[in-house]
Amino acid sequence: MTSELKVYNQFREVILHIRLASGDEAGFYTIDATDEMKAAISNLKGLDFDRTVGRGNELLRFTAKWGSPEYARVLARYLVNNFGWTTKLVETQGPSLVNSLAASGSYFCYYVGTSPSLPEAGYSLVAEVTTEDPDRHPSLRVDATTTAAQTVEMSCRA
Amino acid sequence: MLDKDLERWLCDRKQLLGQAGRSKVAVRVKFYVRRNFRQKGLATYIVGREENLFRRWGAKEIHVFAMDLGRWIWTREKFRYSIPPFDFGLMQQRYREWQRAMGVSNIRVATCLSDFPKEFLLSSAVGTLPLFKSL
Repeated sequence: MTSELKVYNQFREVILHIRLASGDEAGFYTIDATDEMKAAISNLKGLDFDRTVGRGNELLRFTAKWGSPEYARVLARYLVNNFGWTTKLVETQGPSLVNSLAASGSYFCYYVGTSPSLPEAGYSLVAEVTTEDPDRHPSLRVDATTTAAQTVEMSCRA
Repeated sequence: MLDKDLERWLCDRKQLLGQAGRSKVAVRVKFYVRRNFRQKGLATYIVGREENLFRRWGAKEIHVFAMDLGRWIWTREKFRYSIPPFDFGLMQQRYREWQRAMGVSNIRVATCLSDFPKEFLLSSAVGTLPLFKSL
């Protein structure tokens, strides 16, 4: 699976734009970044991600194995929650449950990081499933705001 | 003396922050001293004793989730904590943005952890700072 992650600062400028690949050929390619972000991100290669963020009396832990499909999602959520940045994550191959809905078509999943001031601090997901046959239902579109895992479940129910 | 219960973890196989791999790690989670007892050397007194204990338990590193006032205290040189390069880069980026938002014309670049000013560390620009010390 390939993911493309864009990170925006408070001035709505792109400060990081990377493409991440998961699986056997895990790695990432920096498309655009500030010098600071480029240097920062270069230190992630090959390492599992594990960070904890305090929020009130709660601790939110963000963990992902290097090369796992959820790595980009976890990294994006950490940047949103700890630094207040906004992220946009486009996954070119969605979760398998969404994949099964789009058996004869193409689809994409589109995640947008939410503001850290929102208590749920979850993700908005737009899963769009489009069939290639114009005589069949043209598309299935699901909008939901919750955590990524729950969103997949909701899109299948829909 | 404490506002919240002191909380420490001993993790068997936690991702190390100072080098690659996993090992036993002690984590300083909560240490909130009441206002009347601050700046009386309590942290310095406890930290040294705790570190001896963590060493005896076989911890390779100590991790701190520096929050609130801790973002300023634990980054002081006397405690000898480091910040992982990834997080330092993110902090440099955030520091640049914070200065811009404050209308600073000559943007300063932080080259080490102690370069971040108190106002920035105590602002809402950053949530939690991950710090570590190798034992």
